[in-house]
Order: sequence, then C-alpha cells, then structure tokens
Amino acid sequence: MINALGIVNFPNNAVKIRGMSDYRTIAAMSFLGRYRIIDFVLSNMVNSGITNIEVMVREQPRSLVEHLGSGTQYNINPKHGGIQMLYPDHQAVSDAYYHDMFLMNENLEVFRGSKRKYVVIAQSYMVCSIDFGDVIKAHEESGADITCVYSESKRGKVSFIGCKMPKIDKYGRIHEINNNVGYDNKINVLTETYVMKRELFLDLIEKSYEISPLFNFIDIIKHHLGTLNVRGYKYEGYLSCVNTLEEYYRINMELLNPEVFAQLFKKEWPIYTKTNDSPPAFYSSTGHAKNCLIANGCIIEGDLQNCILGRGVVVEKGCVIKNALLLPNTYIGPYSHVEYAILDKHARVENQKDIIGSKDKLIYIKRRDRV
Amino acid sequence: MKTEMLAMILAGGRGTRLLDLTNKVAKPAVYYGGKYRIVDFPLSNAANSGIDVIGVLTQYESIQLNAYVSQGARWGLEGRDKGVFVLPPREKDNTTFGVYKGTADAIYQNIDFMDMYDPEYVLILSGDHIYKMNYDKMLDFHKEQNADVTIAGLEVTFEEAKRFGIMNTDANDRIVEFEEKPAHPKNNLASMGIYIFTYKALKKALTLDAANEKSSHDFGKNIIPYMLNNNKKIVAYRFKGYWKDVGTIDSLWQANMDLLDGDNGLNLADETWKIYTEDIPTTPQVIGPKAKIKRSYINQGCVIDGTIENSVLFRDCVVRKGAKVIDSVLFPEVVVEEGAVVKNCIIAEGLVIPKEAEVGDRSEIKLIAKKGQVQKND
Repeated sequence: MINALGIVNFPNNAVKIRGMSDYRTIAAMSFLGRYRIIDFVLSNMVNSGITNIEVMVREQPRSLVEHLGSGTQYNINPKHGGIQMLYPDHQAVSDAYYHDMFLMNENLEVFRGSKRKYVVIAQSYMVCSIDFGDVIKAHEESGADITCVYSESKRGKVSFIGCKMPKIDKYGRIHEINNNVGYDNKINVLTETYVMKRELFLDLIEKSYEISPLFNFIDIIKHHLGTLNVRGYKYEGYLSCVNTLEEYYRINMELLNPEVFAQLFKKEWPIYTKTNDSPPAFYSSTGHAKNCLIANGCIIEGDLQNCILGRGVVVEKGCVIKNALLLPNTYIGPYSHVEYAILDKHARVENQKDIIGSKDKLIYIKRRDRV
Repeated sequence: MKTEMLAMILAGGRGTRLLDLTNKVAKPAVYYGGKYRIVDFPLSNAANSGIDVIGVLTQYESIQLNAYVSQGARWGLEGRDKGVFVLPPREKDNTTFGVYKGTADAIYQNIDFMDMYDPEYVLILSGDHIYKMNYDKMLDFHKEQNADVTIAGLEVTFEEAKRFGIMNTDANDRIVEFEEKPAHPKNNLASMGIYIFTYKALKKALTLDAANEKSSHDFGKNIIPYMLNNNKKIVAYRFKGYWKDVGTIDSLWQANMDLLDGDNGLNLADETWKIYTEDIPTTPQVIGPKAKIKRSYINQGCVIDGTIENSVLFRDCVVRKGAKVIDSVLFPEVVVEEGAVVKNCIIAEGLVIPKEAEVGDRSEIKLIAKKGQVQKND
C-alpha cells in the first residue's frame, strides 16, 4: 500500500470521440472487447497499492456508475479503501467555466478530509501500464513539488493532438508546457499524471480562482512553473491517448500486434474489469477467425480477419468481416460484409448487407441502430 | 433469522473414477465447460432460484473446494442473512470426532446449522451434477402436492436405469417404491439426487436413522425407504432438460463435447439463468494469423495460433503455431508447443505439451494429469 489518494481526471471538454461520445464519457467507452478505457488507470492505481480512489465525472455518469459499482472488481474492499465518484454540487456559469479545476473546487472537502500524504492525479483517456509507486519514489528522491509523468512518442503528427508537451531541462525540471498541434513526430508528451503532496494540491485548488476561474488544472500547473519545482518523470512503456474516433480505432487495431499487446499487458500487472459472467466464446464448424481479439460470450459462425469483438457479439454464417471493431452485443446477420467499420453496442447488421469503409474513411454505426 | 427453504449441497465425495483429476480436489471442484467448476451449477441454480442460505458439506480433499465455495459473492450470495457456508465434519460435545458416514449422516450432523435458520423446507442437492433447474418451481410443486418429500426425476432408458435410483410411481406420480440400481428396472424415472424435504419430517427421519446402528445413513438406501414404509407422501417432480453426472473421465469429456452441439439444452449463454463462477482477470483471447478454429469453445486469456477442432479450452491456454488440438479439453494455462498434436485428451491445469509431441489417439479418451507424463518426441 502506498500513502496516496488516487484521483482520476477527465479530458478537457474539447476532446470528443465522434459519435461514441454521444452516449458515454470517454472513460466508460468499450476498449479491446472486454474492457472500458477507465479500467487501465484504475488497475494501475490498484496494482500500485492505491486503495482510495476518487473518480471525477464531468457529465454522462450513468455508464460509468454502472461499470464501477463498489469497485470490488478492481480488488478494492470498501472497508479498507474505496472508489468514489465526484460530481459538482453547483452548476458552472457556462461551459467555459466547467472544467476539472471547477470540479476540484466543488469537492475540496473530499480532498481535505483524506488522510493520505500524496495525491496521484491520472487521466482516464491515457492507456498505459505504469507503477505509480515508482513515480512517488522518484518524486521523493528528487525533492520536486510536483512530478509530471511524460513519455516520448514518435507519432506526434497524428497522435496526441491537443495533448501537452513539456520542455524539460537537463536537470529534469519543466519550464514550459505547450500544446501538441502536430508539427513534429518526435515529441515528449505528458501522460497528464501528477504526483504532489496533498497539502500542495489543496493549496493549488484554493488559490486557483484568484488566478482565474477559467483556468483548468493544467493551466494552474503552467502558472506555477516559475515558482514551484515542477519536474518530469519519464515513463518508458506503452502509451496511447484515446482522443478521436480515428485514434480509438487505430489504438484498438495496433493492439492486435502481439508485440504491442505484450507491452501493455503483463502477467504480474492484471487489468481488472467488471465480469459479465458470459460463457466462453463459441466457434461453430463454419466459424473462422484470424488475427483477432475476442471476448467471452461471442458466437462465431462467419469469417473474421483483423477484428476486435466485444462480449456477446454474434457473427452469423457466411459473413465476411475485416478490420472492424464490433462493440459488445452487436449482431451481424448471415452473408453480410463489413470492412473498416466501428459498430457501437447492440448495433445490428441484418441479412446480406454490406458496410464497407476504407482505411481513411471509417464507417461508424450508432448504438442500437439497425442496418 | 428465518428462511423458507435453505439448501444443503453434498460435496464430500472424491469421484474416484476421475482418477488423477481428483487426487487433490474433490469432484465438485473439477473443471467443466471452459470456465466453470461443477459445483457452480447447483450454486448458481440455487442463487437464481432465490435461495439465500446454502450449506456446502465437504469432506474429501476439501481445501480447494472450501476456499472456492466460501466466496459467496461469486454467485451473488453475499449480503445480510445470506451466504454460502462451508460445513466440514467437526468434533462435537460428548462424541468422538467422526467423519460423515453417509449422505444422511452428513445432513444429520448439521441439524444445528439448519435450526439456526428455522426453515420450513430443506433442499438437498448433489455438488457434482451439471444441469439448470429452478428449485423455486419445484418448491411450488412440493407445496401443491402437500408432500413430505419431493424428488426430482429424469426419464432415462431402461438400460441406463440399472445405474440409478429408480422411482416406481403411481398414476399421480406419487412414489410407491424406490429401488437403488435395480437389475430389472420396473420404471425408467431416475432420481437426480435432488430432494425437497419438509424440514420437520426430515429432522425426525434423520434422528431415528442416526440411532440405527445397522443403517448405512444414506438417503437412497435408508431415509427414503424408511419414509415410504411410514406412509409419508413422497412425490416425483419430472425434469426435462440437460442433466449429467460426470463420474468418469469419459463422461467428463463427453459432457464438455456436448457443449459443441449448438442446441444441447444447457444453453450457457442464457442471460436469464446465468451460471456464475470465479472471476479471474485475463486479457481477451488472442487469435493469431495462423489460427484455424472449428467447432470449439474457447475462454478468455487464450492465445491461439494453431489448429483447434472440436475442443474446449479453459482460460489462458496457449496453442502455438503448427500445433493441433483435436477432440480435447484443455484445463487452464495448458501450453501446447509448436508442432505438438493433442487428440482425444483431457489435459490438466498448467501442463506443457512439448514441441512436436503427439498425445492421444482414436481408441480412448486419455487423461494427462502429471508433469512429465508426455515426453518430448525426438
């Protein structure tokens, strides 16, 4: 166990996944068939020994509340820790004022009431496997006021657009933080994970409105770069940021590559999620799958290539499905043809229909829609 | 605390004919169906039937079984005045320590437990049968019939009837005679080992039976015949559907293969009657570019790049490129290395089938349960 309160932050409101965001927050989106995106940050916290976790929810809480429950699926025992969702008590003046710092202010009492020495603030839409214990250790050793986790990316022109790029000097100190607008491929990008003493965190919240009520959390950090010792901690493992529909698709697909998969999933670092008690996947004598990730409860009677299937997906006889994401409980009727598509939950493709997108033009089918 | 009907699951048997599979675990804890342990079936059935209190009577090699069933939350059985309670034999005042001497004795030794919940009815189940059943409907039937005992029965062929307890019934399905494994069966209605007793009648019969030194303290051999002789009303409740007692390696294999028939009557995918089990975090199953899968049942966490036909694979199995798994059951974390061939086998948890090895043939179902049982084929 480590002496830290875990806080799961949400992406700022400019980040929307076309189509899918209409139904749920990014944190609650289905990922790799059997997970929700938030499972990664929560499992990282639990595996690191953090047992008290606050999940900040900006909007659309239903899907998230349903998924998180009491947190026992993350191995959190409510008597010795817990997982709690934080909402605002008041409405913000307008959308521009409704950001993470606003929600932190609204829940100041929760952070005051904690007995933990540190806070670990991490982002729900960043997919990685990181030991926060290592970050806290580095934080203690460096004597930093705030430690920001960052990682090196080679795909800054297409990925991590809008994410924060720190400028770090040779002593590891951060002097400047800028937005990634896609100029360079090789960039340093913040995972938006921060470690600091809880007292300092309270102080930042309390003074934030004096600086500006329009400043979100990262703006506040930037504001203090000159006065506080803000340092970088380099994370070396797998990292991706689910911030557009194209990235959502690409990240799911890149994990079909066993080498990439092995960077994210490690035996001693389990990723927890809510069980659905579905039976194993069933392949009939006409079913066929190649290069796929498949969740339990699926019934496969058609032909699958480079696909990711969520729980309870049914693929009927004679179908050909390639390069597609089939979210939980989608149905593909007999002799249909689907390529380069994302089918949201419970979508149905009835008999002998074709949905053919291309690499550059993905087709998204909305939740519960029938084709 | 009062509960209308509590369930007692008899889970003490070894299941000797399951050979090495039950060296260290009792039969109810044996794996089945790619994901489950056999005891998940009566536990899930009971939970789905609205039964809140379940005693599990364990005896033979019960460490794994006790640890497994004591986590009632798996079946949604945690909560106030609810739970799964593990009941192994124990020392009592004024007696020497005694193991459970028979099915009836096991229940008799736990009268105190049952009294705590003051039940009207007690459901007695066996921990080693695979089926789905709504015990609440059976209780309705028991009440309608105003019976002292209701026994669930399944129609079998007259040949099979020789292996079962057979219920000879009148026109109204009242049981007039009960024969254990008759050489010349008069009827084909087999007892499924599922009983609902009106508790008062059960307690009386058990107490008398316990005092009888000649009794073998068995429900089928002693309690039911005794109650019939005393004109108690015992009725048969006819069950239609999938039911399997997996006593042998062959029948365990066959029960797994039954799942590959789309319509086998068990329907594990039925959302309204889920079978619950242990939740172990694993990744989704990974199907590689060289994989060929036909007519199989594969659990999460498996990594498949070989050929799988007519097989059932538990979680986290690895089948490498060029390997073949045919007509087989792989328990969790089995690894089949490149080029190895597995045919007609049940492979126990965590075993590795080395490169190019060939295991099993057409003639019989082979159990591979020990490390080093399969040698490298040079």
